[in-house]
Amino acid sequence: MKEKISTYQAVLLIVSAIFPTAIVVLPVIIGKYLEQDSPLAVIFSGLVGLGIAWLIGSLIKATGDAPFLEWVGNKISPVFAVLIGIFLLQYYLDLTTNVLRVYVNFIKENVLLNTPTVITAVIIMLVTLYMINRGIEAISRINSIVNLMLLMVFPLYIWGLTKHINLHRLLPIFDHSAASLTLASLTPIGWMSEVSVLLFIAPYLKFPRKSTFIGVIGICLVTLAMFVEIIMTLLVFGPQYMKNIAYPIFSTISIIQVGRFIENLDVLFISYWTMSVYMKIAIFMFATVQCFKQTFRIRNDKPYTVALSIVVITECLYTWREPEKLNIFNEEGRIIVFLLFNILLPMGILLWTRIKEPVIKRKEYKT
Amino acid sequence: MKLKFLSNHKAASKPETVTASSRPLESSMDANVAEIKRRIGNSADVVFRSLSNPASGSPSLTFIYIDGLINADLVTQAVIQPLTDSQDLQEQGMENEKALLLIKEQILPVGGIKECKTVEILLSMLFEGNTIILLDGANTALAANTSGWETRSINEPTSQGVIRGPKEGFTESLRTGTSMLRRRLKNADLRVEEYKIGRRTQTGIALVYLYGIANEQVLAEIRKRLDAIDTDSILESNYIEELIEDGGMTPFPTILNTERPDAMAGGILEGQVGIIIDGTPFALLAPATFFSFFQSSEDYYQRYDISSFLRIIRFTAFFVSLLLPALYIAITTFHQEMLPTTLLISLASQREGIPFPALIEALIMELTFDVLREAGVRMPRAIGPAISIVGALVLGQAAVQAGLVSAAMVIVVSFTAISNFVIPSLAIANSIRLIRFLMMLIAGTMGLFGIMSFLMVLLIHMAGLQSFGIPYLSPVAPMKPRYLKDIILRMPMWKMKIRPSTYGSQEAPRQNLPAKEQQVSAKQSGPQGSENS
Amino acid sequence: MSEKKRIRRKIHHKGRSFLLVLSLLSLLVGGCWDDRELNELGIVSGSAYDWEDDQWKATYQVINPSSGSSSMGGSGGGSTSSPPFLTYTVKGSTIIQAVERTNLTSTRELFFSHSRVTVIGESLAKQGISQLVDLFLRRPDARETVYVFITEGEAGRILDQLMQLTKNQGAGIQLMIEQEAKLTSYFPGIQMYELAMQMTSDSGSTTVPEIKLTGNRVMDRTDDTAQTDLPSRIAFGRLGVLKEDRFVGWLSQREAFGLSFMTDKIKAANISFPSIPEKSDRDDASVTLLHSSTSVHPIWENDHYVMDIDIKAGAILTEIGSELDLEKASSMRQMERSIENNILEIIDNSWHAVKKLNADVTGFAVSIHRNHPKQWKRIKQEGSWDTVFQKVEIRPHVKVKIERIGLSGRSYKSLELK
Repeated sequence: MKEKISTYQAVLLIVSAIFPTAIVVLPVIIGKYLEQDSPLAVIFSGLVGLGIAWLIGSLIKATGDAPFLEWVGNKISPVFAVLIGIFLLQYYLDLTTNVLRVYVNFIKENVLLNTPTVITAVIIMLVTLYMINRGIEAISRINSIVNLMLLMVFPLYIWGLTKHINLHRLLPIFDHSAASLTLASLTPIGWMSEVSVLLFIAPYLKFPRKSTFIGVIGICLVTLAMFVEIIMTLLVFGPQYMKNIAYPIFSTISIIQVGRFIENLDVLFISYWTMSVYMKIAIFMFATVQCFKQTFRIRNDKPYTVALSIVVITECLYTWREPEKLNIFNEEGRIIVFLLFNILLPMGILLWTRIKEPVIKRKEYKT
Repeated sequence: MKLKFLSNHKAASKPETVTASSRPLESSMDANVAEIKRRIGNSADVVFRSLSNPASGSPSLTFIYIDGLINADLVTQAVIQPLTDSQDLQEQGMENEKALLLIKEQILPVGGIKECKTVEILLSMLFEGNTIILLDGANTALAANTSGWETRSINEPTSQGVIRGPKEGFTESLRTGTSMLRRRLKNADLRVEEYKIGRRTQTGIALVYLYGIANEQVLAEIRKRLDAIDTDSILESNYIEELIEDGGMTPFPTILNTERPDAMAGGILEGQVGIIIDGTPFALLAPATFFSFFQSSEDYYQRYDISSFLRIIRFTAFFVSLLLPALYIAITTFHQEMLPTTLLISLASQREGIPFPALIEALIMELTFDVLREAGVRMPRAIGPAISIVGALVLGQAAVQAGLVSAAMVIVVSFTAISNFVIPSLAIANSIRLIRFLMMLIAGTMGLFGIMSFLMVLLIHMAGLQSFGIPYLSPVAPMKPRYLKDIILRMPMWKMKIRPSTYGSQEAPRQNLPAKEQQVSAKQSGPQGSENS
Repeated sequence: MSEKKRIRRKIHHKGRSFLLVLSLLSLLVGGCWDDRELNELGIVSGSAYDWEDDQWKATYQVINPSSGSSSMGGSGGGSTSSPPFLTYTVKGSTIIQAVERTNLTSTRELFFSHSRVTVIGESLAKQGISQLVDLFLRRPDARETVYVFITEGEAGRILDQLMQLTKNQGAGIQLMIEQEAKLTSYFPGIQMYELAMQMTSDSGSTTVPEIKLTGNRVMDRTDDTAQTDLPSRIAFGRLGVLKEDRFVGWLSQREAFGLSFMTDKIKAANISFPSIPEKSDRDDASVTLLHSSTSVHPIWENDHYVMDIDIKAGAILTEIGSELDLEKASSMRQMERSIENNILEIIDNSWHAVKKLNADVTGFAVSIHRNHPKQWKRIKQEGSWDTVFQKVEIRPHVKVKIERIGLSGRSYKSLELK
């Protein structure tokens, strides 16, 4: 009696797949190029994101109910599928590692200053493993609760900050060139393209045909949330100051003061955020395992899951040890990888099958 | 380990029972009596009484019953007297099958008479309080239902009291239990299926459900699991609960237990299946979701506004009970910046001179409370007040004054303890008692991050749990907004028009929707209720 | 069959539970790297920084919990003879070095999250405070919401001063400044993050209120506070002006008030004015401003900017010493004119002082950037804001409306005359 993931749960999964890590660094990355025009970049990347969602959606529609890589294997060639699988595996491993590293860094910098990173990384990974073990259905159920909590947290956030808002901080609009808009949008577009994780969640959906809808609504929600966040940060801190703080969202929260009693709410928000990052990491770890499973056609993935998570931990601890490297990759390197794996690859496969399909059909017709 | 043991045991014991169960009665009464005596041994409470044939003078009829299990008056008036007085029997003689038929069909004025062909059936009838009548020359025995033993009268439930609402609780008697449900649900769809489980105890178990409302798959699953039970004893409902609940290591109960017939009737009406076990007033309800443990039957006996408020209080109490000591530890040792300054200073001044770290302090106090609680259950009534004075004064006040623990910690621990009793179901309250300790340890090592990680594990654990195929966290995760009317809040009765399908039953209107009144009432007379509308 | 399945399920679950237990164990084995017990913490309620002999001189005010400084009393733990807080003064070539050295002399680890105020000595302010601001933004346990003050002379002295009514001096100063901003609006208190925001904004200048002792003596003994009228109290004096991160001069209280009008920081204020200006120049009436809003519009006129400052305020009459007939609309107009003139004068006064300091504390640069982004870009490229600023002319318009006249319909004086 395994219940499949309903459409609205899937939408929230998409939100969790993109939002948690974006929320922390978004204002800094966009603000650097666009200052008070930053909301434009969010909207722009949201639009591009919609396109990507549509692309991924139609690819899933094409696959039917079959797992993605199997379908590629059948349609194009098994060797090609394995090849793509290996590349995608590498991509998802990297992505999971990256999320883990961002998470670990954050905990290290804000919450547990002296605890060794190994410990935090291992604990996070253990929790993630347990989550995967309980299945994507359980993850998606909890994910919707976590996201619904966001609905309660957001008004609190906005209400708490109303006292500090100055609308003039948004002026002057359109102060920046199109070039800086593109530059600023690149990273958010990269995040939006993470919607492609749907490819691996699709077989677990109740209605895989609705993938386009799921992706589009998911992207819309993410764009909305990002938009609110960046607008609030701008309104409270102004463009110049925003660029200079490492975690603007938590800085905005830390100035919220309700009466004389409730202050320093940031720890509460951090706790909430902790949960949502767990969701994100679990989703991508799940995608990694799925990718591994499909590439090497493995039935029982349990032992490999542990191995994969060990790979993730080691990669996290040794490759991304220096924060500068991570920052550079986050800002520059990532976008290429994202473009390649989330846009070009699906597009290529979709085109390939579209071109080939008529040929096959014609053949069938003849025989 | 346990399973292996069980299966071994089964293999060893099966043949024995097979050979034993097929021993038919012989036609010689003496042989039968001798066999029964051999089986029962020299038990003092088994009474053998023989009547002799007036013609031959030799004993030709024997009653066997167990003293204490029968109603002595009934046996005298309804069994012995008719037999000794019967003219027909005197004429007929007491020897043969004919006499047996005569006794069964004409002489005995008793409600239930059954024939026993084998020794085993005979014995089991005997242990249920029947009076066995053995005739010489007949290889069939009669069992007359004369059962009547001392039972506790129906009392107010001790563990689940209410202020307003029915005051009667289940008793140890299975039949009383089913009768209480019948009285509440006067409906042909109420089905009672009986099982005998436990090779040695032969405990009666009744499966009670509403046909057409309880989900068939759930029912089948419960039957399957009950049938699979192979154990020698069932002494309390927890035996059944542990044996049939969904596997896996979980601290959370997935079957609800209740002492209240009204609560059970309510559950059955929503599609749950009741399991009443002979010998204990605690009956089971399955499947159960996490949220069903927070519903008290009193919620429906008072106004919805106050019930909703109480529900919220309960959930808050649940979180307090689970998290408060952990949060206290985490905040005072990791995240002091969260506290308002004045509070921090006052806590700091209390902690001056406390020899233990906050974690140890909290663990000590929590353990102390659990010791007190256990003592409270065990100690004789007479010395109860003494213990509570010692507990409250010595451990509370004196410990603070001696500077061993801080006053704030005493407040935290006692509030946690009290909160634990707000939760209506003791089962779930107990499950978080243990989790709380883990939570405290984690909070003491990793602070809020640890708490959140552990909460995540708990949540995901619960989301993956099932109770007979029903997701444990439904209808919240997976979310079914239509069924949320009776979860966090208790909506007014006139709002809850639909019976939720949380427990796998078909969704159906509970109240007549005004527009379709005629239609629905017509359909409700059918066995399936009004599922289709 | 089903038995087998059950067993398999059990084993399966064993794996899961093993994972669970493992994760929990590792959490516990994790140990405690970050925990600090409350009685190991020195809760800092305020800090002060001076610059002396090319070194940082930091003073930390650490709360003494056992003196019951939460003013909760009752619990009987605290003896009144021990001071509610202790101060540590240390020097170091960097701030953190000073903190380290404090830890050498103190039994407790300094904990900054509850710090409420930071006092900057004039000596340091002249040297530049960017390093200090950076520290506050960088350290996770330093809160950006501390109020910043500047003092003439040595900053550490301020923190030694005991206060009456509040034992926790840092929190007391915070209360004072919040009260002040709410009631009089002379010096809007500035928090560290606001300071940072203003310093990074286009104007690059900011103001910090002065904190001082009214007398010469520092009341730093607990028995000093056992008198009703302390000879020396903590008070706010003037407004310090910082350009970039350096102190450039003071604005008097009246000038600061004018600045509050220009920067829309008025929450409530009292204004005294002559009720019948043609009769006498002496202030004989006062109003409380209930609300006030300021909007600034830069206009480019030939070769310089004119700042069009539009102030709209509503007031309630609180005091009147003349025989003015309050029932007449004309007399109300008359008073409103008088108030407006008064405010205009205050603003003008303030503007001259600001111009003299050549620090754009008015935030004109920001409004020019917002309204004339292209010109601003040019100014920025040329780096000519200082000269442009010197040429800025202000054109304030004030509109005050007396909305209510209080509970008495006429002036008492007019009753007396009859």
